Amino acid sequence: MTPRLQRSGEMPLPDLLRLAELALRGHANPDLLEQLLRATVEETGSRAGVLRRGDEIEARWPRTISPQVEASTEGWSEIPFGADDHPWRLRLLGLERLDEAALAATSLGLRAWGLREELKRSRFDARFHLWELEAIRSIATGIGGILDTSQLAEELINHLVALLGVRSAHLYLGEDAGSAVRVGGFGTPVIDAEDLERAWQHGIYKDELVALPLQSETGPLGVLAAAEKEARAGTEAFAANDVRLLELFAVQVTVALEYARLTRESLERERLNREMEVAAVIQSHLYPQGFPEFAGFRLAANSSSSRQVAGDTYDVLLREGNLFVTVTDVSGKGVGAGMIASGIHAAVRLLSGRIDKLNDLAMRINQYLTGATADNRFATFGMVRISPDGSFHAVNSGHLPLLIRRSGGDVDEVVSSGLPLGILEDARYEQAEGRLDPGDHLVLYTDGLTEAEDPDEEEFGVGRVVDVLRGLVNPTAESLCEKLLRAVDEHTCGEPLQDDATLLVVERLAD
Amino acid sequence: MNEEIKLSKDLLGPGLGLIAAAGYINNEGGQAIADAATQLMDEGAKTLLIDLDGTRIINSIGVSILLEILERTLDEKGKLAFCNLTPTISKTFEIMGLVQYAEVYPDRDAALAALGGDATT
Repeated sequence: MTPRLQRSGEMPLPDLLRLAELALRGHANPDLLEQLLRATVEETGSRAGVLRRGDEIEARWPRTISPQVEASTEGWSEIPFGADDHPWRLRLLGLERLDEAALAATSLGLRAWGLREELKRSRFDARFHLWELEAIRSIATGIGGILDTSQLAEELINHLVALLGVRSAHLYLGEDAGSAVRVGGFGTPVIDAEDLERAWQHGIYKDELVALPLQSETGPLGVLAAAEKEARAGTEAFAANDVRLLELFAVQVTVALEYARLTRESLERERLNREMEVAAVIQSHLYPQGFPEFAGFRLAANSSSSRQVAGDTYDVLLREGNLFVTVTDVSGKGVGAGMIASGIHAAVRLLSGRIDKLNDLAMRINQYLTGATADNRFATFGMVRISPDGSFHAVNSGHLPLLIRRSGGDVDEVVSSGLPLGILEDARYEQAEGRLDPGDHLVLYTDGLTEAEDPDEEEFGVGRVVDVLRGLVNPTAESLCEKLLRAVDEHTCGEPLQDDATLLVVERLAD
Repeated sequence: MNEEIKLSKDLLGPGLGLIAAAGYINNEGGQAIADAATQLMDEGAKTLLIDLDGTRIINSIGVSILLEILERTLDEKGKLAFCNLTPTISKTFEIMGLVQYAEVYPDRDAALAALGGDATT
């Protein structure tokens, strides 16, 4: 039952003004409604009062009203007032006097108070949206350049915690849910391995927890989780707008992670390219910068690499009045092959002239190389020592035949006498002997030439090399090189060689 | 990373109250600051300086509570000032309208010099 408004005379003007002044006061004191109610209770001579808005009790006076007293209907006057959108109800216990003017003043004041609150909320919401935009902009421009995932996570989490108003937010990254680790976070982590797996697959959308997978084109990169959304007092359920914001954050961090990954890969490629360039420069200095003067002989060479650092190398040097020429082809390509080729190159320079028999020299290099290469690489090796009178000694360790084109066009071969270097520690080799007469040519080459393929994938082969040599007429070292390379180029129809290729020619000049 | 609020308050001089708050300013941290502000104002402080050295994150509820403190100080014809804001919090205050009516100083010394307090307190 709602008691009717009791009237016991008009309220004095000062009391009305006091009520109106309180109601219209502009500050944000959360006790305002209580002050207003207290004034109303005192000015109307009531014993107690309760102010309701809708179903909510906004104020009690005195604060110590017992629930029993508040629940009873005896002695209470219940006075509804305010517009439809502000359904205020005033309950006064033991009301002595209240008139329409007092109610109107209170109603007007409460309505003004409500409008001010609404205006403040609207302003706050509008500014909060700006805050959201600023955070997104800040994340896009800020974490976009961060390559360290921990730092990236901290930046992201800070913004997320602030905007969502959560007590817990964490970022997990990994190849899959099982291996994902927490790279950053705020507050107490609230998801376990099972939740992480579920979030990785489908995401988790609960009142108290939202965990989203970071979806990239190649699949999830991780999980972004937020929990315990704060209310003014305690916590509340995540709203749709919170989830939308979290999804936006997840997209941002995914883009940033992808950017960081691509940047790291690009930097790594650049670093490797720089290293390759440096290695290529170092290796280029290992090739003879010019040929030594060796009376009665003339040399020509050509070497090309399918990569910046070749597995092929050759050398020409004078020791004890003899000319040493070598050719080496390391299995594989790139920096690893180039380093081994350089090692053999250094060993040849060190040992040439100190060891009489070339097969012994090859065995020493083989012993050094066997076991010294971690990835079971090996090297084919050919070496020829030429005396000023044209006599020569040669060793061929697993290499293609060393060719001697006689002045009349015939071609002799020094074939391999054993395994390539680096395979078997106690491998043995034979030393061959021969003689270069005036007009003869010694031809050393690598399989980059003989394995050059035509469009039908047929290799050039040693046979064609021999054919070219036989077909030459009075060649010089230089012209032999040119014509052999041209024949290979015609065979491949101009396609670049797929492997490192080296050609070294020694011509004994005609008398 | 857990950042529970660490708070201290002091009445520095005639009408000037200092609140130093370090940690997450959320509903609990914000309310702790509001309670400290109320006590200082009850003790006669008209001007409040809130030093946020050590505070990196403030959420929307924390901001709304600071706005209420600002309104109360203005209502009492007083003044609210902040110092030691991180760039992110400074930007947030700017967006949320706090710096329109509150004063912001780079550090406590600068704030006390401007507000007339003793920096050594």
